[in-house]
Amino acid sequence: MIVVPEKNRNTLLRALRELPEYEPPDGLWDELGQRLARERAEAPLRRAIRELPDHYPPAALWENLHVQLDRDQSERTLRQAIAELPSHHPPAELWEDIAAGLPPAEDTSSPRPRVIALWQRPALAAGITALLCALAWWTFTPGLGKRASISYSTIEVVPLGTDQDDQEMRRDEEAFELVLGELAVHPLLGEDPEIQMLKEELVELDAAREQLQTAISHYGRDAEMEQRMTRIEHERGAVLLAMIAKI
Amino acid sequence: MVVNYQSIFQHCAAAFLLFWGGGLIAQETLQVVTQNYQESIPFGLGTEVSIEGEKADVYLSSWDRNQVAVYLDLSSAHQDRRVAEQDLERMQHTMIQEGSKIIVRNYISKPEGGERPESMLKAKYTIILPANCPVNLSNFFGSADVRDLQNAVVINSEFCQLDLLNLRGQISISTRFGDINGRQIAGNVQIFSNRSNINLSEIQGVVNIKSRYGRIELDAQPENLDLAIDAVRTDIVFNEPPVGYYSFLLRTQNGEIITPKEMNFQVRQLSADTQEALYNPGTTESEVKIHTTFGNIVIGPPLSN
Repeated sequence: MIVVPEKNRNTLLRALRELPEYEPPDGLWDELGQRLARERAEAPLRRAIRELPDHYPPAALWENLHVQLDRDQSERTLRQAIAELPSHHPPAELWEDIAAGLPPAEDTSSPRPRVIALWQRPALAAGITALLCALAWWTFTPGLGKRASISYSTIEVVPLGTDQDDQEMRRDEEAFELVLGELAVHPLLGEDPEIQMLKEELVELDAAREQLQTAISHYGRDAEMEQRMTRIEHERGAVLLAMIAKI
Repeated sequence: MVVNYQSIFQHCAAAFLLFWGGGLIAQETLQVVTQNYQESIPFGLGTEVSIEGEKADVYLSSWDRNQVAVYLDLSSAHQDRRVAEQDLERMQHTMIQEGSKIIVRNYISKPEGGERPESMLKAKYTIILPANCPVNLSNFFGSADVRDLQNAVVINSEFCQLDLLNLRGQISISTRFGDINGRQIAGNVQIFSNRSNINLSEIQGVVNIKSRYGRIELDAQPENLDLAIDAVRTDIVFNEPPVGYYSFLLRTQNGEIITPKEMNFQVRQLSADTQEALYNPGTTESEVKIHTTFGNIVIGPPLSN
């Protein structure tokens, strides 16, 4: 073998001597050592994850779900309501805390399906829990200004009132008209002080009844309104009986 | 004896169907849509809270923070959720601060010539504030539960059930067609009631009640009570009076006075329709004065020491 001497050897040696010297920062070798040790420890887990079989649902399943969701009107309404919910922004430090608890981002260029490593799951769960706790605290702790939300539920009630009730009420009113008409033409009771008082009482109760009916037309008929109406009707009934007793 | 099993079976089946069928008919499911609002307002000296409710259930209590927290639920219930949602839009509310006054109000918008709501509408307030915060509450239809306040409470209500607990200070209540249940009410208390029943226990202080058409039932702490009741067509019952702590002056027109034998009341017939009963132990300046027309006064057996 023929060795050709380097003509610029001396120049190169001088240039090498003049190159600046760099020392790695303190702790770099330790950090590299720890990272290698961590990767060695994680290697079996990563290998096991790579060997996990991939499962993909049949395409028809997604289609069925899509159709089912479209069919469900109440679900759509709920989704619409959710879309209209006000958005809340938790404090910036919360995101920092969560970011600190999460592992560093991995290379996403791999075509493999995204699978969360087992060792990442506790950290992710902790992060989500922290986020939910922070949102709950932010939502329910007073002293943070105004908030609004909407919710849906169901109640079981006993239906109130029927046509028969209305008919009975009409018959009752006819009885009141009959008695008042009788008193109006009665020769002795027209000016009777007690009858006058009972009439005034009836006027007051009729006004309250009308007030209740107006409220029912505005707010709906529920058990509470019905109880109040029943009480007024009882009192009207007592007045009517007192009037009849005088005739 | 021949047992007709077929007949027994038929009866059991009929009873079963009646029971379950009745149960099915008796219930219906309503979709409830609830809009919730929350607001927290700093409390300063002189801050006053005014609540103007309509068809509202109001819960009012105190805490040790210098804040007034208001939680308001406006809800609408109907078989059809879309109808409930539409009707809920008619329920309006305001929460404003005018100077030192915090005003919370709910009402229903009534469009001219528009259709009336088909749903059952309701408001529910939960208001927590410092105990020394004066409160002015008006409510028409619904209920109010007011407790643990120590300054001034003014309530003006109609068709509204009132539950009061541990209230002290200047208390003024006006109610029409709404009963009052109160316990541990102390201070300068004024109550005006019309067509309402009143039930008060452990009352103290200066208590004045004016009542029309109703029933008043009460008991008191064995000290510091000056009670005056002026009533029309109202029955009044004073339970377990502590002997020696108050004098009694009772008068009824077109009614009856019933007193316990142990207290030895002096009963006088002032006229054909007016009766009076007196009791003075001579050891106290506290006085219970009750006057009613077309109503009875009943003093229950005294509190045993």
